[in-house]
Amino acid sequence: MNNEVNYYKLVIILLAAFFLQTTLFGQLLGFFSPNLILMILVAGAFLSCDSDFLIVAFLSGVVLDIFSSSGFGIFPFCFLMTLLFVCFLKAKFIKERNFAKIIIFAALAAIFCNLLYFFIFYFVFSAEIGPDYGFLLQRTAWDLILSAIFVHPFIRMISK
Amino acid sequence: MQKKVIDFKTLFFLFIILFIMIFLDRQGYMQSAKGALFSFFSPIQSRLYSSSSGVVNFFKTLEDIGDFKEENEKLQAENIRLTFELSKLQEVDRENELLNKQLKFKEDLCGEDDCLTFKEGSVISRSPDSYEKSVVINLGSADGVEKNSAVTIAGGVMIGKVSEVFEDYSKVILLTSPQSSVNCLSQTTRANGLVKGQYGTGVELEMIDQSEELIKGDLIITSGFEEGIPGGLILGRIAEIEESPNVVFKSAEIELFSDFSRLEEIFLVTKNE
Repeated sequence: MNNEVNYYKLVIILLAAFFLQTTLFGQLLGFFSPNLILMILVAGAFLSCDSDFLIVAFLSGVVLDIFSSSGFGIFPFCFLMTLLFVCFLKAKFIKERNFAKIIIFAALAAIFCNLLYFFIFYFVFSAEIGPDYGFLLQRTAWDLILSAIFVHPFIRMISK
Repeated sequence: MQKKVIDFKTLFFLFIILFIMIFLDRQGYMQSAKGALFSFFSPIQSRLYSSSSGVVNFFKTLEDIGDFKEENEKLQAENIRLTFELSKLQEVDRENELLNKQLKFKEDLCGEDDCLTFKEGSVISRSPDSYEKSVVINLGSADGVEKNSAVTIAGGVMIGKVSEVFEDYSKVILLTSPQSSVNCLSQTTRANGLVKGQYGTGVELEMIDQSEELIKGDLIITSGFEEGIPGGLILGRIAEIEESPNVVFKSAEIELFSDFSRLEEIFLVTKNE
């Protein structure tokens, strides 16, 4: 596995994921629709934490924000914080290529991003209906499983 | 594995840009930039959405074969149509000549000062995450869309209201979203409350005074007290009543009439002065 991101591939895959996420998957899978963009970005963070990658992650979040009603800024904030989390874990704990660690850290990143998004969403938009921890748990468990499955293939797809 | 640590300078710079963008968005200065991005992505999304509807319908139909769901849905659709007719008739008894002029869906509804028109449009994309549930439709300010306008499907069944308007597109927050809140009435008892979305797919009628009566199976209709949302649009029926002497307000679970996974054609309620 090469450790550099191929940005052409990354942008194309992110665009494809964006279109799938906002059309087919949303209709077909509803609640179970995966957050593909998050998974691709987490995969990318295992390869690179440089400024170009952060900018791509930021722009991906901005585009998602424009098509959602969550309020502007939530997605880019969550993505940047999640990448910061992954890059920190990577620098601290991954000294060499390790399949198991990548899967575990990808799952942790999914949990981290979900919690962050959920609580921002809750405090900003829906404090009056109360947090639904059952929903959070289901959603987090689902993202955790998907991240563990897909992050490694995504790393292969976007590496040079 | 590469050991490059995160670039904090860029991160700091991006956070500054983000906060500036949030500030500009709050002030309404981001609308044209958002509109431009919508125009860029929406033609592709629109095509993909309508194509994927075919795929979705294919899988749904496969699901339906096993339990005669298709037939059931036809009956449900017929039921909704009849319920709407009944709803209209009951409203005529209760209300005034405004609803006497209501003939059938897509015809103008005229009151003393203005008319309500149902403008046909279609969904072009869905929200990218499952916490908030919204869709983007291909009607915008150029079509007379205003913020908080009601959006329905065929049969006059309300599905949500407009949250943001661009020139050619609008965002619609669905009734099932935790952000959604619509002022409604229980049709028979006229109990007034708010229909609020939850995190899952459920919807609840809340803030019902303890002195008000709720009947299981009663229709829930819009009250008409909210700007942009006419009275009499149906949402669903009461599935379960939740009451306790220890709480200030009653609430009820609502069974919605619309299938939110199959939204394609929608109708936007607009006013013609």
